[in-house]
Amino acid sequence: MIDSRPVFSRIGRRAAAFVLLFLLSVFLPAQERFRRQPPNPDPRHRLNLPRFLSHTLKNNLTIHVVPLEYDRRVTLKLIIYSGESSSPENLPGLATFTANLLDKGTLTLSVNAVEEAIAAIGGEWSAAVQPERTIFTLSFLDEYLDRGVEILSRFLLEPAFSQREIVNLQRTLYYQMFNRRKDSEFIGKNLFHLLLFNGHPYSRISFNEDIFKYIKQKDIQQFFEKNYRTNNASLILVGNIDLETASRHISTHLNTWNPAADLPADDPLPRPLRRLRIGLVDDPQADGAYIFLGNIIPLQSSLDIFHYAVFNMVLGGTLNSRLFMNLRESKQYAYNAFSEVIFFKNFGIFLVTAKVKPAVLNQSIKEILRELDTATKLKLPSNEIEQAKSYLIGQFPVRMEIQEEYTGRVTDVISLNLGDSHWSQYFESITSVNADNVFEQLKDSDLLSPVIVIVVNADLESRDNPLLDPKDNPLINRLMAEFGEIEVYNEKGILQYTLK
Amino acid sequence: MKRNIALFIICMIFQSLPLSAIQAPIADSFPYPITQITLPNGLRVILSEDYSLPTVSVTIMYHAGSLNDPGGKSGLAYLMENLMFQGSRNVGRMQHINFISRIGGHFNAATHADRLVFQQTVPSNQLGLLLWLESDRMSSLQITRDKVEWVKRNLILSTIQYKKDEDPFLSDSLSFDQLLFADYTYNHPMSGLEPEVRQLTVADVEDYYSTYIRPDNAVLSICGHFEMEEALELVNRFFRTIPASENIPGFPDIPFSQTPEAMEFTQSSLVPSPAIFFGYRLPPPYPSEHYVLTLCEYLLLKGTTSRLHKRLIKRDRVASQITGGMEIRRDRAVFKIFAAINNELLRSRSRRAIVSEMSRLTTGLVSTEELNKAKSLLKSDYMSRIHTTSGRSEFLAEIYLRHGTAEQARLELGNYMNILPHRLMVTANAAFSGFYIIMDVLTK
Repeated sequence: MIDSRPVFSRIGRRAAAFVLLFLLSVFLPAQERFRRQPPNPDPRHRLNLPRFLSHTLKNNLTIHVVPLEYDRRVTLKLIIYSGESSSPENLPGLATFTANLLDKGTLTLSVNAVEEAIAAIGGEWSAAVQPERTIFTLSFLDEYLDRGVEILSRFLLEPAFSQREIVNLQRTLYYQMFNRRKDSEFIGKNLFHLLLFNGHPYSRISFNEDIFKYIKQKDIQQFFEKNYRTNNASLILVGNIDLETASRHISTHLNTWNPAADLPADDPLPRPLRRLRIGLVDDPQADGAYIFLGNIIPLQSSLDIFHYAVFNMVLGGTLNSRLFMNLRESKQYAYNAFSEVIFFKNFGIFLVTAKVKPAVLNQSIKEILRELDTATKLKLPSNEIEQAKSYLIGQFPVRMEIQEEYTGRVTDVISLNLGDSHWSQYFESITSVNADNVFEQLKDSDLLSPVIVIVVNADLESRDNPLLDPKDNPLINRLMAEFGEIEVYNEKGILQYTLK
Repeated sequence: MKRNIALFIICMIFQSLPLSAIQAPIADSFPYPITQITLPNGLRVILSEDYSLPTVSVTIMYHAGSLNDPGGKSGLAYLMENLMFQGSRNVGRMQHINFISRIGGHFNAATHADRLVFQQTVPSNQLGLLLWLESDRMSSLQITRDKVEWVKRNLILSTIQYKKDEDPFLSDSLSFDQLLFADYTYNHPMSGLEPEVRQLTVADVEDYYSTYIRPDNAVLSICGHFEMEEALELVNRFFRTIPASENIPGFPDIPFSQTPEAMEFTQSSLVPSPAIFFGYRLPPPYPSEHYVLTLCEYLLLKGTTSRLHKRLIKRDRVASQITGGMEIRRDRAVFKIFAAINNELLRSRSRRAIVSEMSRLTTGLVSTEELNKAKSLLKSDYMSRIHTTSGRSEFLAEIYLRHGTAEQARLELGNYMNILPHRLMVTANAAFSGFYIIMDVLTK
């Protein structure tokens, strides 16, 4: 194309631009060169984590100590290797109830006296029940080690399980759970576990609040007697403490705690789902459509955990991961979209969670499945793998600064039998992950036939038109057209009907 | 009468005791080295090494906050905080966050009455990155109309709305602040009043930035795994040439006014339960007594074994929730209590219970056992804070701003642990025997 403008005009503009640049360079302060780019990082500093020191007492109780000189608080974790899967089939929730009752008074200390004793050592107590284990945490100032262990021993050696406290706890837990059912995320996760574990003892983790009224004192006593035993437990202490001192105090206070003659048998491993299954809860209070999509992942070796951890970072572990960038930033379907891996003994759960706009619920599920399909069938690009590894390697020591995170990791290593190398070789294990071994890990997985739970205000009861068949509901209609059968549950996880 | 005389004598003894006499370091209460330097441009730098984990935290604390919002421009400091993530000469919009997130680090920022805080923790080999990022936004923040409007709309106004949605008592709490902190400078909400936020302009932000976000108005605190020589070289490289302001206005000087009499107010709100706000303006001198009053907070309100929890929730069963404590806005402090009460019929009983517990604290000696419990809880929180490099770096910067030297950190825990029951009673008596302010909140 020929420029029809006069030549002087073109020259004039160029000259003006040149003069402007010249003036800018003269009058604007020049920028120091080092400000233009971030400095190169130094070589990574070595991570030197203290070793676990272990000792088994005469009564078969194993103690693990991780000395942290610089921390003046001790965190004591008691792991009982029985969780909700050990509750009787007709009484899911018993493990949770027993764990929550443990600090509600002993034969020699009232509830108030227990609270005072814990506060006096600058302490905090909590209980968490999972399908296969129960974890109690007592943290306190290191100068009160003996008193901390003594308090724990009272809970274990002289539990009261008084009728009065049972009634109080029944009321408290009922209302806690009742209130949590107003939370769509809680409803969704509960149903997800129920469908995923599908009749396996682990599905007892998804109980509802109505069960508490059936729990009797003798049920609690029996559960406690059977499961709270030295050879079904571990004690972990992290803090400014050594193994010898810890063993001495624990032995003094807990030497009369006994092992069980027969330990409960291990549950069989839950199996991955082999066909897609959709459960839906119509929640009038849901302020979006909540998606929970995932499956069980078998773990053959401790390195599998690292492969999945890297894969998770690429797919949905952060704000820069594929799911978030695609569903939120690019397509604008979602408020958020993440993935996580939850590890149990010898298996894990890979779970994608997203909160999306109800109008694009179908498209969002399809996009998540498409992302999973791409990520599992094609090798991940090495730049994404390296980015994920860099994040995990950086994040590990940063999170380990927090004592709760630190003790949580220690607890996992011990209770999930992950082995010493998982702890001491963390950086090396992450570094060894590459596109090939992630691909090998994923190619036979069942991530593409997941459980999908949806919590959404679907208006299934047709509040405007009670006679409307749910199948004529536009949202259901679109879901069925895409995915076929849909199981409809209430907010407590009870099946209402199946739409085919 | 005898009791009053005894109290008077105790008051005289403790008032005549110099503060230094009751200040003594507690062994290992801050077992980390502290190095302090000041750059030629006035930037104060604190460095504290700790090689236990390969992480490093950087906190930069500017000595300006919502107290520096000019009249009618509330929310300006908070807007400034958010704009600090919107890009500078060499760092793109939101890149600051991306740089840190991608390497597994975490960050935080906060606006207080008298300080803006930016804090981040990363793997220790990335100290240079943090200092580069902080120096770039200190020296060359890019403030544009688009960015200001975007932040106002998407961060500030949406935060105000979010807070309102999340906390049904928020507007009552802000009303109560207006009663407790009598002057606009102290009582306007940190995130701003909605109509005032809408009026904030680029010029307002530029003015705030050029006045307060200067090296001679900041403390830079670095804690964690680093080599001193290398850290000093990096600090020098990135910060030394940033020009000082040399003309930073002080904080507004507004005289303290005590309430002339007990004040009682009532308002109706869309709240889930009736409630009571109860508070005191704490008279200067300040902050010399804040150690004692913080301990009072632990005695009265910390956890299920605290006095007010035991009285109102466990014993009298008149309230479902009780919270509160000291609130410090630079040279002004108040003590606030909030109680969500079970029903309207229990209001007067709840008020009596609060007044009675406050009175018990001011006229009776706390038992050694109870005092030790409060100290243990406080010490546990303190240890928890200084255990992480992020908590420690912020703590050291705060101590520097308060005392003019970070070395005071070594005395900090001792200032609490050395408090005796008599001193606690005397201080509580001086603080809580004045007139209180009550605001009853009725359900609409």
